[in-house]
Amino acid sequence: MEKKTNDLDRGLDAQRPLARLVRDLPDDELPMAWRADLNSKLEALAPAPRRHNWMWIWKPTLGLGLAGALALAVVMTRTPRPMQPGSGTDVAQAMLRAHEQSVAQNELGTVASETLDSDTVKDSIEWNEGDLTTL
Amino acid sequence: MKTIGLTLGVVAATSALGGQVGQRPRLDQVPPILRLAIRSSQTLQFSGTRTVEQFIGADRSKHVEFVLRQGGRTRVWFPIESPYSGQVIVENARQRKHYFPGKNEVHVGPAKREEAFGKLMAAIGTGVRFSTEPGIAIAGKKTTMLSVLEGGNARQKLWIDVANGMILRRDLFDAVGGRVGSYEFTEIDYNPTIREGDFELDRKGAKMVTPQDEARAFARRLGLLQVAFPSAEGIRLDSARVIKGTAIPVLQLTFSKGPAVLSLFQARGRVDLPMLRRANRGSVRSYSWTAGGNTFAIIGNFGEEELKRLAGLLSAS
Repeated sequence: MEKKTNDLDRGLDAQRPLARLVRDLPDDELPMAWRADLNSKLEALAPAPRRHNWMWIWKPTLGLGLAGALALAVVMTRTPRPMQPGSGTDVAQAMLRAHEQSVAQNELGTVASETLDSDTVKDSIEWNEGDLTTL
Repeated sequence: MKTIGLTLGVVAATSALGGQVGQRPRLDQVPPILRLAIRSSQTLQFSGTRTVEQFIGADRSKHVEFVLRQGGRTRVWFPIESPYSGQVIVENARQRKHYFPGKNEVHVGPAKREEAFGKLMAAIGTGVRFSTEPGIAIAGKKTTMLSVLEGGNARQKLWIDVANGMILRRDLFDAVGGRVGSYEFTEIDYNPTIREGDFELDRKGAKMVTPQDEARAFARRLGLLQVAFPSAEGIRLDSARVIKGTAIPVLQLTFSKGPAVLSLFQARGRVDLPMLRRANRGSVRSYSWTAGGNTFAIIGNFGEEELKRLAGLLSAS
């Protein structure tokens, strides 16, 4: 046992010059261009990061959505919208009045009150006589 | 010589009305005061204040506006106390521009005053009758009242300044004699000060809006179909609006076809319109149908077959 330990110590001692040699080697700064080149090569070789494939959820959902929309479109096409209850007479009367009003405006050459009413914000600056005479 | 001069004057006035009149007016039916009004319409200049009244069913609206006119050019604006103060309308023989300060928009459309005269001239060609009588003083001016009669009933009355042919008041009536619209000058000055730029409207940064733009915007907002007549039919879109007094939104597009007014209505969903069919009396007719889940109706002074044909011409735009 004593002999074995001594052999190891000797072996280690024998390696010391090499270790010293390695330790004494000058620190070579690797050129930046070479590093960049190496990095890009490594990146090219590296496997692409694995993406979580969530599409297995969305694909059936999209399919169901499309099918639903198609079914709805077919139903909407085949089934007319429900009749507006009790509004037919009112709507017809309003249409006749509106037409009559348009004819009258056209003949008078004036502007419909509804057109004027569509914008009732006054001018932001309202001058008066005082504004003219006080300077 | 005088008769020839008058004839040329009326024909010239008619020609200046943008070709709205299809046939030469029968001058033997035109009273001298109306000839004077037609002739002076292209040359009169004035500034004045007038009250405009509109009757929509049982509703009545009334506003005051200032008018400056030089021949075929007009500027309209509103008193400072008016809810429409800030709005300005200028018009020449071709187009009308209406500035809305709140929206900062200039709405551009066809000229209306020229068409108003065009309709009056067109009426002369349809065999209406006229009667005249001394009128009341309007804006301090002596007038003659001219009634335009259809089947013996007054469809419009005009109070015309006997001195120069200026139409100082005009009332329009429906088929049963109800007043549907009127204007009346309360002040008039035949020697106004007119300056360069009075008939121009140039608002930097204001958005220019055409009737087509309005129609598209309303249709989008209400979820309605955007439709149009083929351009070859000579049907011009004049305005678009959402009409009042209905539980559901109804879009009205107003078109001109020659001197006639054509209204196209569109309501969302199916609406039964039996009352519209029953109202097919007199010269105004209607036709309604459903398409794309919406209800359409077309109303105008046309035969039912023509309305049906026009309805068939509509396409998505």
